[in-house]
Amino acid sequence: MSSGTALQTFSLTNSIVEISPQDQIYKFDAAENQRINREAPWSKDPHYFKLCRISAVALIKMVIHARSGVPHEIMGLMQGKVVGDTIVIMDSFALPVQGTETRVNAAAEANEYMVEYIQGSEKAGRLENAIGWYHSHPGYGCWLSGIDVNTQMNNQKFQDPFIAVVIDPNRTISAGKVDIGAFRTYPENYTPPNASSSEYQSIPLSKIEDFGVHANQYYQVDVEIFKSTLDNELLALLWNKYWVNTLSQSPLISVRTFIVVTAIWISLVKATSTVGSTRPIIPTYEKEGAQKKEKEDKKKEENQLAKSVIDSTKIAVEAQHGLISQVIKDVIFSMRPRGEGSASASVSEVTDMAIG
Amino acid sequence: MSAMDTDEVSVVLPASSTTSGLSLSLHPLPILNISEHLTRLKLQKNDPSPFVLGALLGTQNGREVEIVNTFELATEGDEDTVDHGFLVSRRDQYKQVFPSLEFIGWYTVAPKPTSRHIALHEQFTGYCSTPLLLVLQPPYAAVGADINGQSLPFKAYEPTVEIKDRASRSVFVEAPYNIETGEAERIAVDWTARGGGSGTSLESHLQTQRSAVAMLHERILLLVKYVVDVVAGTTKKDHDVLRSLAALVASLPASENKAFREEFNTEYEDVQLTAFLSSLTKSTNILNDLVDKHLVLTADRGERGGGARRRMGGRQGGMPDWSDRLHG
Repeated sequence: MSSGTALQTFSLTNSIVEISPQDQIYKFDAAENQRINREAPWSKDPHYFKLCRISAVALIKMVIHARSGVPHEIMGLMQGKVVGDTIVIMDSFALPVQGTETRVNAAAEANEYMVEYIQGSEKAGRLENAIGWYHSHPGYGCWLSGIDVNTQMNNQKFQDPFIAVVIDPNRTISAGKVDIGAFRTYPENYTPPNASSSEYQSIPLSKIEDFGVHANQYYQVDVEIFKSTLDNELLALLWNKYWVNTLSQSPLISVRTFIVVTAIWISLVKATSTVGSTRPIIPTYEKEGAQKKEKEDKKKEENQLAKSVIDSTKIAVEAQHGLISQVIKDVIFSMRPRGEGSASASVSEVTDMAIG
Repeated sequence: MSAMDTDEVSVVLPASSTTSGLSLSLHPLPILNISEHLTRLKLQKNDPSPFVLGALLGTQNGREVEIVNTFELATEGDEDTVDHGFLVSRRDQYKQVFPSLEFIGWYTVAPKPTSRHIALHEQFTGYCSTPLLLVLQPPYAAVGADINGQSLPFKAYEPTVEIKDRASRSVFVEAPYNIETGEAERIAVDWTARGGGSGTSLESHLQTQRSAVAMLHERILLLVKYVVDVVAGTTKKDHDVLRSLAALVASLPASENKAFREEFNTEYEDVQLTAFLSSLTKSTNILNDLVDKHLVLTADRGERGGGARRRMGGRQGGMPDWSDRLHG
């Protein structure tokens, strides 16, 4: 490791600012920003943005804010820039408004707050512009509702480049990983070339109509997280203190997925009535191709029972994970030292049965 | 005379003379915020050690302080005058969104606190009676050292007054801190630490558990080694440590309470029940599929449409019975 030390000493004494390529993204290039805003390549291609990169701090702030607002929907703004066909989100801040079903213009109330905040940010060294907004859907998944679609279409008309991000804090906690989605709407009167069926997610029946009607007016953008080299180092050091929390958290107790379970019950009841009319999926020859496949996909979607299967598997998987943690803790802390066999046996019992 | 002395004399009281009585908890978010602030300023000013200044937000309950969030501060004029207007407006904005958080201190990046920090500290006393100071100390992570033994390069200081030679001056005394986190924060930090991707959920979940257990194991090995050394006479006996170890061992197994065991088993059963129910739903679906396909196959070619419909009707007649039995 001596060469490493030597390099560090050299850089320090010679004030070399070592910016690894990973950190370049933190630099704000005003000229480049102006150029790309002038050119506005996104106005010519509705499907322009393919990727959304979110910085670690922006993400954590959004998740904490979303969680603190449960059961209300909260919203906030994000600051960042455009790099190629990627929207890069550097930071986020919360807005003091709560979204409700009927409020279209929640953003208008927070205008003064927004303006003051963004102006203040420049003083504090945060030079990026507002590049999007985020809000939460506590318990009902990441998608854009009718009102959200309208809001976002407006945003994209007047404040482009702008992206919409949705976070579900409840699913985040029960699944153990962040449930987040980034979306861009299509402009009015634009129909996307092929209505690709997006990945299924379980949405409560009360909301599913809202979801279905507008599902074709926007598309989902891939989300990637980035962090600086310093962040990486600090996170590695943080882990030294953090592992205690990981072991001691018990998701089974902290979250009871009530909402999802009742949703499954409702959909199962519905399924019992519709199961009579399901049709089988007839295998076709490959050459008859795409057309038939689309019809099959549609039939699959109408099969309510199949959807219930997916939902229930998901819950069972999450519960199993929680159970695995509990059993591990039990084995480590509670059992008297017996033979090796019994301790590992009980853990493997649970993991073998685990689905997914 | 004593005023000039503070330039030479350390403004930090040595740890042995006084210890801060605070019980301080630090969340991961402030840590990452400060790191991001530093990286950003480094790039903007093209300076490997720029002057970083920001405010700490959190809660204070008597001697228990929690640092939850941060925001950047601006300076006006030279670097040592805080822009108070900005501080007040930002603080109020955060109050609107997070009413429970208060201004509890400030942070900066420096090898150790100096008289310059005392001067800055004076500017914050208007907002909070004892503003804490959180310092990020470069070098951030020593090269080559065993990363497991290291702690975070952050130090927290509480301001206090030292009376010496009939003169009093403000000094800092170091305050130890713990890392605390909320559940959502923990998940978000874990997820970003792992790169934000998604593997098969079982695999990633087991991986996290495994790394946590591995850490525990390492720590235990360290303790065992210490005890072995003491027994062999190679290391000095430290009675405090040995007492805590004895207490730890005595507290295992964690719980032999019957009520605990019962509750544990009930929960175990509940979880396995959900797994069973979901497999049941799955098999029902597969069965349904099978029946559908069977119908298609066995229907007569000629009356395929009519036959299917009639059988459909028959089946629907059968269905209500089954669902009645379920509800009954």
